[in-house]
Amino acid sequence: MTTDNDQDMALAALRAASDDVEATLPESFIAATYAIQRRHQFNQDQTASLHDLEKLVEDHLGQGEAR
Amino acid sequence: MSVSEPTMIGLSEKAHALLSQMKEDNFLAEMADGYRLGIGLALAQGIEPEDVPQRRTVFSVATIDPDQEIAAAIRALIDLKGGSVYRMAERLADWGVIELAKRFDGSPIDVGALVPKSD
Amino acid sequence: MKLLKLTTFNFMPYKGTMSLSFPTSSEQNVMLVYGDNMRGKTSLLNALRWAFYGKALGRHSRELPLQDLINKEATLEGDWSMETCITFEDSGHTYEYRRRATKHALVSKPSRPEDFEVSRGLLRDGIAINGYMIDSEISRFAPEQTSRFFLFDGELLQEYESLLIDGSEQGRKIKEAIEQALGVPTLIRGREDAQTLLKSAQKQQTRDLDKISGMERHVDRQRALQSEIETVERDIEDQETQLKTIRTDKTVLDDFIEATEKIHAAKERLTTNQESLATNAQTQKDLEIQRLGLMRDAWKDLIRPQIALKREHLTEENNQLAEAMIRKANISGQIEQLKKSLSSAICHACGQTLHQSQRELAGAELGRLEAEYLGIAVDENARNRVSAEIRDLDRLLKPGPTAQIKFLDKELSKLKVEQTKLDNEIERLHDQIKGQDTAEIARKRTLRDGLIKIEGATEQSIRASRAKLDKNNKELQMIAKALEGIPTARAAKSTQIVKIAGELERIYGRSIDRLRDDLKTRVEQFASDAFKALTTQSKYSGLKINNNYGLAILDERGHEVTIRSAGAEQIVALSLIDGLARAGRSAGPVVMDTPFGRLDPGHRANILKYLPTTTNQLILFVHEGEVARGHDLAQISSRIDSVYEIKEVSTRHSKIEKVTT
Repeated sequence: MTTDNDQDMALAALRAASDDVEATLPESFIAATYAIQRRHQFNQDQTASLHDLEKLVEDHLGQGEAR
Repeated sequence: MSVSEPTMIGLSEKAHALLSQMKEDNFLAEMADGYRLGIGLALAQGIEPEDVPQRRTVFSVATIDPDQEIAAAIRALIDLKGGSVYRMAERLADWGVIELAKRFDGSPIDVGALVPKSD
Repeated sequence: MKLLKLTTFNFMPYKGTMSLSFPTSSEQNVMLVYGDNMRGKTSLLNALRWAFYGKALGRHSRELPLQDLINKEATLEGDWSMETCITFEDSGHTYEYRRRATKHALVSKPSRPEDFEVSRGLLRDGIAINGYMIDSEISRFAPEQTSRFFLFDGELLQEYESLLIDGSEQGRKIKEAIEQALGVPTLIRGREDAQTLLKSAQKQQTRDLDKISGMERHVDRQRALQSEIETVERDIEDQETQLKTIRTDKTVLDDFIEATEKIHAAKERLTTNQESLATNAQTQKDLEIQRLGLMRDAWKDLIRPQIALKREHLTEENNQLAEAMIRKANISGQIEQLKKSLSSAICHACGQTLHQSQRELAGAELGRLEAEYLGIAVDENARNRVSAEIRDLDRLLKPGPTAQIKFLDKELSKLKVEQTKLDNEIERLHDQIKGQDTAEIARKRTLRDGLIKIEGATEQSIRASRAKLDKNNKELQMIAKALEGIPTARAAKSTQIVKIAGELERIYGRSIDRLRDDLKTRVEQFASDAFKALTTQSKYSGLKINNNYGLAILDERGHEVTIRSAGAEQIVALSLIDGLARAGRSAGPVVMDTPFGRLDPGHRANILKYLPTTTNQLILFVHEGEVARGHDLAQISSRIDSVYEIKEVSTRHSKIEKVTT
């Protein structure tokens, strides 16, 4: 299973990849998407993580509109 | 006065039966081969056998001895005293075939065992 | 996590109740269970596996059916119930996980898993956890996907060698397991979720843009691409299902072929031997015909000595006859001379006149010679006869066929011996393959070969479909980028979601490769450190990792060591396990079944010293030949908590006894 150790490594990989593709998404948002995946990592059913991701994106857009 | 030679020669019933069996058992390609071997064996043993009782004619002389080598061998080794070389061949063959059957008794003919060892 | 106790009832060879308590101290964290082969060591590993995951594995990691797990002696007594209970602790909580199988009431003699009722229960600190939450709870401590690194079958160490072979099926499976252990799937799933989100957002975007005039071209193209993508994705799904089926079928066939390899080989040898026998028989027949043909003139060899002697005599006679003729001719000559001399009264030798006395002497000599001449009988016919006889005998003395017959007899003898050997071997092979359906074996081998071809073609097809998919997705990205620049399009929420999901998909995609590279570097470092601690060869400088997590040994100059012993392979594999444990797994217990099989005492000693430092609990199932109780254990005696021994009660019943603490 992934440990804190892994969390660092996977998150670090995500951050580095984000720089590579010159992403415009905020780091906190990317970290939040990763937290969703960690939460559901051994769940056979992938709809739960997808549902959470959709909600996260909605909230993110909602925040953007509010601003 | 030269003696008349037969044109057909044979064996006793007993020897004939034995020779047929050898051929049937595939120990010989032809019965004539066994006939000649019998002559050779008798000559080698120095036998001068008796006349063949109740002869049964089997071969022509031309079949057995086309090149007259057998006749030459018999003449060289036996004093025919004016008698017929092929009648002698008959007597030798009869003795020889019975002797072969006795020695090998249902087994293939081991020519090596018959040939005298060289010095 | 720490294991506390394992209790089983009627599990595999352990009839009735069996209990094992695990070490809990951090200093004394090693437990050993000794057992000879076939007594139940691997069954203990399976007991833990079944306790956690409801599965037990046999050869080639194939799942054993439930009815084969229940103790045979118990089933003969009509008891078809089986249970495991594992207690463990984690993060301050104590867990008790119980799993039970009993046969259905209406089934008299179970013959398949469906004939059983399986129930389970998990208590945390004495409180029951809801059934639907058990799997996710267990996954927190010991996810099944990574269980091969925690419940470790030493005989599978050989599997790791396949990691060095690119493209091997075995290597692919292990690579998947390793990446699972290292958290790569989390990012893969992240990418998949982003892709799913992107697709649904793109479809919504198409519908939204349809309502905005001027967007028709983009909309049509987007729609067409989405439709094509859906079709290709369905194709890929079908092909992957087909590929999975093919691989499963191939594995089943591979197992069958391996099991029947001996039979197949025996059948091949049988065919070869039968052909040899037929050739032998034909050769014998040919030689016998040749031999019989030679019998025609064999009679001559029988009388050769007598004929040779006769020829000698005849030659002597011939010589005598010839001498007589020569003598007579000489005398005749002398008589003529004397007669001439007497009639002329002159000596024929010196030409002098002969006196009376000389004439008398000559006359007497003449008389003597005439008498001698008359005494010599020359038989011309005899000489001709003898010469002819000699010629006849020379014909008879030409080399006969006996030497050749003897040679053929020897050859026939050899062939008969060979024939007997072949007959015996053929009979033995017939016995070996009796009852086996060799036609079926041949059919399955051909089928397997066919499946390999289809597998290759299907993989190729999938690659082509993915390439097409990739191309379409890139084109969709281009359209999305173009739409972002259009104010009316940009405003649509779906377009914003497309942008976010697209970016997420790219980030996660990229991060997977980054993580793989980073992990490989870390695993390589940790595995190298472990290897240097475990190997007895001081010249090795470390290990190098390939794309499949295969490890190559480096010598002191940093060159790959190409020839490795079985023992070296085991050390490398153990180093990899340790490297993975440090790079990815949490430091949980390690249970190893016969890990020392091919190792010499030096390596064994290193492993025994090293492994206990890498884990909080080390449980080893070994036999005396692997780890000698006296010598090998002395080195780690301070770390040993307990030693157990598996004892055979009968062929179907083993028990475990504690030996020392």
